[in-house]
Amino acid sequence: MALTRKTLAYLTTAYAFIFLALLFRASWLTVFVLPIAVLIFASSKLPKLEPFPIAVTRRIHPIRSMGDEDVEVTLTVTNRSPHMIEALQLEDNLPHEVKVKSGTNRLMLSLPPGEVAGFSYKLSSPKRGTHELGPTLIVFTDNLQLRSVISRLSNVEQFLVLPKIETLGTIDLKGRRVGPWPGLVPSRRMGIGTEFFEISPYVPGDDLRRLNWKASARTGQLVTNEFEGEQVVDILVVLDCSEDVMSDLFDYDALEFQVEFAASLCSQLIMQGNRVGLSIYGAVRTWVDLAFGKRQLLKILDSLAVVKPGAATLPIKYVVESVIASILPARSVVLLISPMMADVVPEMIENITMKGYTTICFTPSTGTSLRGLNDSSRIARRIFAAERKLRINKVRQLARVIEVSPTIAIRPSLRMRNGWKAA
Amino acid sequence: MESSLGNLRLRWNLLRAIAAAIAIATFTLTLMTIPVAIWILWVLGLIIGIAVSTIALVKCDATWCRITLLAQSVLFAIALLSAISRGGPAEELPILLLAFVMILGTEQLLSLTCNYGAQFSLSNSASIMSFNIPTLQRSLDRLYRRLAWVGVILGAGYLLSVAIASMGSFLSPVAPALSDISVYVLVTSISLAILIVLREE
Repeated sequence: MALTRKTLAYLTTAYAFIFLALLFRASWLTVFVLPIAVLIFASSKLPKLEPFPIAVTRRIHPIRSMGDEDVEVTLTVTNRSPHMIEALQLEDNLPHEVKVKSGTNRLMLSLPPGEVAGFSYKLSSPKRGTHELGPTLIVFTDNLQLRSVISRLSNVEQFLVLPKIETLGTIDLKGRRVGPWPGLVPSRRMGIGTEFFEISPYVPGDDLRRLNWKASARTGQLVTNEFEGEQVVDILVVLDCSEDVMSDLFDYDALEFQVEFAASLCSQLIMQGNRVGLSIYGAVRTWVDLAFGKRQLLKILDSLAVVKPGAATLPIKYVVESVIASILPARSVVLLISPMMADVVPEMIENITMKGYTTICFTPSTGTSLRGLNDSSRIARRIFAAERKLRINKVRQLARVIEVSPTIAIRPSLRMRNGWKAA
Repeated sequence: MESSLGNLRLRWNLLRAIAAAIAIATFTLTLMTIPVAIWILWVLGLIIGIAVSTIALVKCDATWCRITLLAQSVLFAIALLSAISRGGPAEELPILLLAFVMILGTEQLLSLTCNYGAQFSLSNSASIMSFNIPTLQRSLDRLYRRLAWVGVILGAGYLLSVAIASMGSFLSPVAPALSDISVYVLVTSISLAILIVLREE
């Protein structure tokens, strides 16, 4: 059992009175010690405190949040002792970056034996990443809060906040190589699709609805319409989260923007039936193999949820090129999301395009405001911006570059650019 | 459900109103022991006292509770120093003692209100509904009982202190030296006893 800070403050006050009484030779000052003494004596006569067996279970909903979504935490407390617990203070430890929106993570309870009490609180849409809840701190105090017994449960749990996904709408993507599965990407071959490809002589068994009557009348033999097959493509989204993404050139959180953009892009491409993979370069270097479906999307989002900026031990050029070579079939599509701040980026894109991959680069646009900067900072910023522009121009000669900005919704920003179609 | 929730809110708000009244009464009582000549302190003390006590209990916020206690302690220290400078509080000792006991009581009241505030002072009913109403009712009953306990103990402490102080004043005409020594001896013994009790724990 430990004395609380309050007890120590009371004792200090009591001895301060005795000291003052001696200092000023004023015996009446010592009378003020008596109320404090009575409080401390009364507290010692109260029943002794024991750390009663308490069971606390926590339920987090959703355990995997899709971003911009409140997280509800429900705690159930059970008194497993045969005694009544008069005053029990319970506090569920929260990480500092998480804020309680409603309810409370701290409460005082009185629990009869075997009683179960439940309470819940809502966390205000936590930021992307993994968050730890707990441990729950249980404090048993006496009536006067002068003595306490503190016990800490080992009930630490995690929940994951995935990056926010914006609906991008149908992405008209063309690849040099398409997969055998039906999808939405024109294959430049006859097949099942909606775009007219050519006419061919009628063969018994052909669908009569495909007969081109005008052409048949002109040529004197039955001909049918053939359509361009629409299939899927293999796409690797490469996310460059090297420490350059934290540059002052960006007036906003470029890292979060890049991560959300990558999530939106992957989600849309997977929904269109494509085989999508992900390679992340940052403090945590990881990749997700190409695959289809919602499970793949969850895998990708899980990887994006823990992205942190920073330099990996290996250079980006080596990492990206080796990942592409090992997991991406030749002539597939590479979508690079990068702040384009490293000199090595144009060279890396050149190598990728030379190997026959279709490359499209997305880069966050920089701010133009120079307010609040001194002269030297302004000059430095202008030099950095000019160097970046040169780099982007160099990349433009090799691949399509699209500048994206958080101030403009991604969907119209992509639609405004023909380049997105003409890959 | 609605009625029990309303009842709960009513009892909680009543408790806060009582706490605010006690805090303001403590400020007033402490100011009564300060010479009227320092009238600016009177006005300032009362305004600040009412403001901080109200904010502390409306918000149920630990920082505001500390500010309230700090303001009370500063005023009490001024009262004490002015009494020392006058050579003793004379007839004002019981009031000064009552002010001190009330500061202790306010401290207990504010800290308990802050501890329980998180679960009762929720701005909307939806939040309070996230708890079991019977659990909250039991907690509130318990809070009332605790405060009653504190009241009884502090009341007993006050009466005891006043009795001992009067005993000193009874003794002083007969044996002035003995009255001083008796209080010193008593208090020093109590202080030692406190240390022994704490050590035993």
